Amino acid sequence: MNNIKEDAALAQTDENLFDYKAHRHAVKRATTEPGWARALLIVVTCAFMTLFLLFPLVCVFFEAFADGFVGFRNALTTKATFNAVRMTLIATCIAVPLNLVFGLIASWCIGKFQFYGKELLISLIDIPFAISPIIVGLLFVFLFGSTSMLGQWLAEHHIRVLYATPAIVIVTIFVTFPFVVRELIPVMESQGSEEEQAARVLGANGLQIFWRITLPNVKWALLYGVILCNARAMGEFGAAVVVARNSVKTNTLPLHINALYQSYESGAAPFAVATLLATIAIITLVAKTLLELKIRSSEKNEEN
Amino acid sequence: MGVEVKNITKSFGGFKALDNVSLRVEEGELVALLGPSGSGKTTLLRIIAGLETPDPGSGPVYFHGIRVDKQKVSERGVGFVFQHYALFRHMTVFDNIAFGMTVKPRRERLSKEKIKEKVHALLHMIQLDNYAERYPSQLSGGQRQRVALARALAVEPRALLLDEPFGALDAKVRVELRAWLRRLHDEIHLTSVFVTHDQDEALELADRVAVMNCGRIEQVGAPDEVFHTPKTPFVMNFLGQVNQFRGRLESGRVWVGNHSGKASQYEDNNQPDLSANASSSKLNPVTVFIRPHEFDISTQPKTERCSIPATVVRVRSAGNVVHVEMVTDAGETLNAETSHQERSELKIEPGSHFYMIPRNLRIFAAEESRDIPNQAASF
Repeated sequence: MNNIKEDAALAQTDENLFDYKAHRHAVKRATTEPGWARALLIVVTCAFMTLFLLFPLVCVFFEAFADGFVGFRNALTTKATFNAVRMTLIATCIAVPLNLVFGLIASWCIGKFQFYGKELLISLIDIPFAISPIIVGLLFVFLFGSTSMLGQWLAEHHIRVLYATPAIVIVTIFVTFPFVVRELIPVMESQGSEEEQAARVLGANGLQIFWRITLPNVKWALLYGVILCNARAMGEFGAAVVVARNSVKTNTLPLHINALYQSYESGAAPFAVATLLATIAIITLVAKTLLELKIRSSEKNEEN
Repeated sequence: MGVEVKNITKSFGGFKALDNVSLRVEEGELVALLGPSGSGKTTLLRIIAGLETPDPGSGPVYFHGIRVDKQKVSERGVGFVFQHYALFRHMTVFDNIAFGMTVKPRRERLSKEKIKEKVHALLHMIQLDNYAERYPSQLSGGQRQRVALARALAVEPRALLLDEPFGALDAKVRVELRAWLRRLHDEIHLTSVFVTHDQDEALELADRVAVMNCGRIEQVGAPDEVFHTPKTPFVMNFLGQVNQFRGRLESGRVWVGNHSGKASQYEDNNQPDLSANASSSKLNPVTVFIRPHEFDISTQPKTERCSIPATVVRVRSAGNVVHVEMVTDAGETLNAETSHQERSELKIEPGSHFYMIPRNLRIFAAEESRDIPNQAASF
């Protein structure tokens, strides 16, 4: 402010005819990068993304059809592929709804209430992000294996957890656990609980408050979290590979792709199956982008 | 009878937000809870609504003679207007207002047509007939506040509670909405309590004002009563501008500066202990409060009246009255108000010296005044 006043004063004196346009231009030049630097940065970024992200993705689709369309179709219609899709769907269909419900409950209590140990709980939620999936897998092998008490008890009652569907489901839940909570906590925190209080005063019961006030207010963030959670659940490899032990029965899609690839004779088959996951990834990206736009516009609405 | 609370105490950790507070609001009355922030006024309102639970050992809460402190918030049937409106952001204005009617159990619920009719009647009342399909984000602050009020009234509450209802609005809208709310109250005569820290708002709007400080109610009374006959130094200080001087009381005379006047000639010294002391020849230190508009300005001291010699520091004459900032010979700040006419007659200019003769003053024992914030004459 002062600078502008001084400049104006300078401009008025006769000796110091001040060129305002040039001045403003100089300020702009001082605060932005020169044109060539900007161009360079953009080129580098785009080249990097093309080389490391886009090119491999295109390669997957290209390789998938290396044996022609028939080869592609054959790879997708084997019993093993069918089993893998089934296993992935089972794990996802259990893990995502469970984490959705858990995410809602956890973010509700973290976002709307103050209690002792809240910070610790928030850190604990991040454990699956922090630990390598392989370790997660080993952890569950140790927990359910024949050496542990739980493992012995399960064996006595003829319940198979390890190297079977339950283990795949459990590790998927574990690994995808933070996605929904992480998305919801900031939204819940920023909205506070005044609307819920208003609803309560107006005579609504807890269930009505949840369905009609809380849930609609977080729906976009919730959907966003679910999409991320879903993508991760379908793509999970590291933890699953430890607890599934590579049998055709318990292979999920990523495990199946790995098995096909390791067998060397299958040619284009692993890439053909990989297109399934790649397609899911692309759908996820598009949905995510659309949701981000939606969330941004609804936030803008609230600010006004 | 409208709303009554008895002996309410509420602590948050070690902080006592309310200390044995009792209040009675008559049926159809509009009462203001007025006080600085942290005085416990919002806490008291939330306890009446049931949004806070008073400490164990607190007394009951009655609505129209029925004890409600064991009832849940949703059963009390109060209308509550939040400071930041708390409108449901994902619902239209129509759905916001209808909400309270649609969450009722099925057998008590009105038919869809009845609800629609009622919402439109309320929209008409708040002068927003054409706004039914708007979202809260598309409304101005004053409009949102009116929607919040309509939403609260839609459930036909037994009492209406408003938390700083005009706090988030700009000055002009606030004054308009204030007048509108008063007219509305005169029409529907709903027992109402509102919280404010704005004395003008409380004095203009309320039938009675409860002045709160540090978790206690200092005084309850009609606006005129609390303004003109404040019972405690805090009330005197909080309502309106005031000058505060050290003085002494001796043999029925009050001394301020070098001059004294008969204490009995000043009204409203409703301090029983003081009137007992006033006649004693013992010297009692007191605090003397004088409102800026209650001075006569004179070039000579007046016999038998307190006269405070003071020098003009600054004169502000933009406005209906002239504000004169002065320093007494004893070094205390003095603020006075006078008319433009008197200012030119007496030639009140910075540097000139006058005797300020209070037409009216209020005397409080000095011990008591020690713990009041010195916000005197901060205009």
